Amino acid sequence: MRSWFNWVLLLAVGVSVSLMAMLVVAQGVYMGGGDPLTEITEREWREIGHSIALGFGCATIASVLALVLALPTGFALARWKFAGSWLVEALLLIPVIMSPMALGVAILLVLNSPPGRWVDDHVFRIMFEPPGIVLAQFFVAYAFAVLILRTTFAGIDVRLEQVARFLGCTRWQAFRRVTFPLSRGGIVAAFVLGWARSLGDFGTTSTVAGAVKGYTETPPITIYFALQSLSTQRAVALSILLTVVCIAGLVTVRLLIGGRRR
Amino acid sequence: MIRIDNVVAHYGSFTLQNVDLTIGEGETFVLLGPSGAGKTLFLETVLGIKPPDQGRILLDGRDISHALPEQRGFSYLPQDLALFPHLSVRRNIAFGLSVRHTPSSASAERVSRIAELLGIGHLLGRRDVRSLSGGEKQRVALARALVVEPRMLFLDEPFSALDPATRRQLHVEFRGIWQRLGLTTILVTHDQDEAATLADRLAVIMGGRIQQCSAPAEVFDRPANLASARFLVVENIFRGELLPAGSWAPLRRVACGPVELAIEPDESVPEPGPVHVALRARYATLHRPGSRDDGPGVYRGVLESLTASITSPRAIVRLGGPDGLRIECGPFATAEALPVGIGEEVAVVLPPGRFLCFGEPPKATAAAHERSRP
Repeated sequence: MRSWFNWVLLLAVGVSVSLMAMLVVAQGVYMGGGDPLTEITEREWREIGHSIALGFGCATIASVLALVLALPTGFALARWKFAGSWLVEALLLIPVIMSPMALGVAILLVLNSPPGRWVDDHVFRIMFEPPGIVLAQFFVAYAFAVLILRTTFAGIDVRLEQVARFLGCTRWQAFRRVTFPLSRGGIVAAFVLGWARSLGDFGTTSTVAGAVKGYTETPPITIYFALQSLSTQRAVALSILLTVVCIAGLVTVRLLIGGRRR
Repeated sequence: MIRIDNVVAHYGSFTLQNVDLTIGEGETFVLLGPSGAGKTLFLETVLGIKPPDQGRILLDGRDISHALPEQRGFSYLPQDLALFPHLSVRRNIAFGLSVRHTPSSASAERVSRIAELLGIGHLLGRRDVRSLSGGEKQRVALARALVVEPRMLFLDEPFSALDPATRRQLHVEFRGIWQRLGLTTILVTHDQDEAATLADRLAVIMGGRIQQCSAPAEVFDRPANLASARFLVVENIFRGELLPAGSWAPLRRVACGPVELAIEPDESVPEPGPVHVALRARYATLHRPGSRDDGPGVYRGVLESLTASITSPRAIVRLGGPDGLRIECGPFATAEALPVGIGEEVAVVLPPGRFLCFGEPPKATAAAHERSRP
């Protein structure tokens, strides 16, 4: 006989799965079982293609950049004990706790500061341009990546690195040969979650890069435009398409990077 | 040879205090102490995981106090062994060789040789080190540490998770291997049997301070102070009053409740006043009443019981009536080996020369000892 605790666990899993499944099922029900893609015209297909390509490209660049910075930062935060480390960690998690719009406004303010304006004038234009999408998505992806990686590295016994050092490794070699392979699952998770989160971001991206149709238009903005033009069916069709593409993307990334795990 | 010269190290409020030791070539040195005594801090300081706050560590006269771990030529076996879970048994053992870019044929040959030496040749094909038994993990970890031919080997309670039979077997095997390789080994442990079995020389650490350092027999026979005697489980420890030399001179008398014990003074015996006296149970012998002349060191008592220990049952004798001293004597193999029956009167010989006598520690020292626990 199952104990009451098992029943509680089972109930929690059931409610969680139902809640998430509802999101997908509701879209299908709204479309009435018809083929949602017939709602989309050829011109819209081109726009959607551009939007998805832009969204995927920017999210991938932003997530890779976020991972490059979050890897050493997460490792340092997991290994270094210093007064005020909690403050540093809280600071790095600001993009998670801030509302997306507010985060976008904060990024705009930075870009309006003298150094930000210098970059905008002399390096490349960021505000209301595609690089703005990458910048906005970088902040979104980074906070998730650093949070996951810090926890991952903290879970790896520091003795493994110490033993590796006594066997002749430098700090970098100990990280590369021991810590990195052991944290591969966490690194994949950090990348995938950061990528998915930035691909789906609307608030920060539209605030920094604007919502310029056909130019800085990412998939969530395409859905927003569809809703604005009262094409609810089109919006639902797009969101279904986006859901499928996102799931396919996640599975592919997971297979490509995580599939090699024994 | 490694010289640890007046080393001081801190971990939070805990201090490793003025450690001064020299460990010779090929020696197996054991640091023995209870949990929280500073053993791991000592090891980490000597290893270079935590640099000393004061003092120096000299390896063959070269100051390595601030050398990086990979520059020291040491191998290290932590308590949990830290086998690399993502590598096979073979790749775990060959890890140090691979870091040194040893050619694969030479590496394979050295791995096979060390695996045969440790009796784990049959494990080299195993992919998952997590599936090994405790004893197999120990052997693989030692093989990994030895294959790089370290200058010294450091072990942090590496046998503590094993069952007693495997532990005993590995003690004998590992000591034989260290001796055959002429390896200088430093081991920290809280296990007294392990320390006695493995050590060429033994130091006792308590409260971050080395209490004494000498051959294992000397340490177990003559603990340096009351705290060490308690930790080393000297069975009979009594509080009493050291009396001025009287009719028993040159022996001295210690009044412990209703019983006056005779002790042989040495240079460490304090002034008359409150003391603790200690005696190992194995020095207390039992005899039939009347078979021994009465005199200093011979007492009459009642045999109360035999302790239930399987390996070393001891007789419990009460001296000086129901409120008197409870003395452990023995071991005795069986109740039949006792000279009298349980509940009968017995003569007990407590040799005065075997007693240790400790003056009362200054209150400040005792309090500091308690405070210094990490």
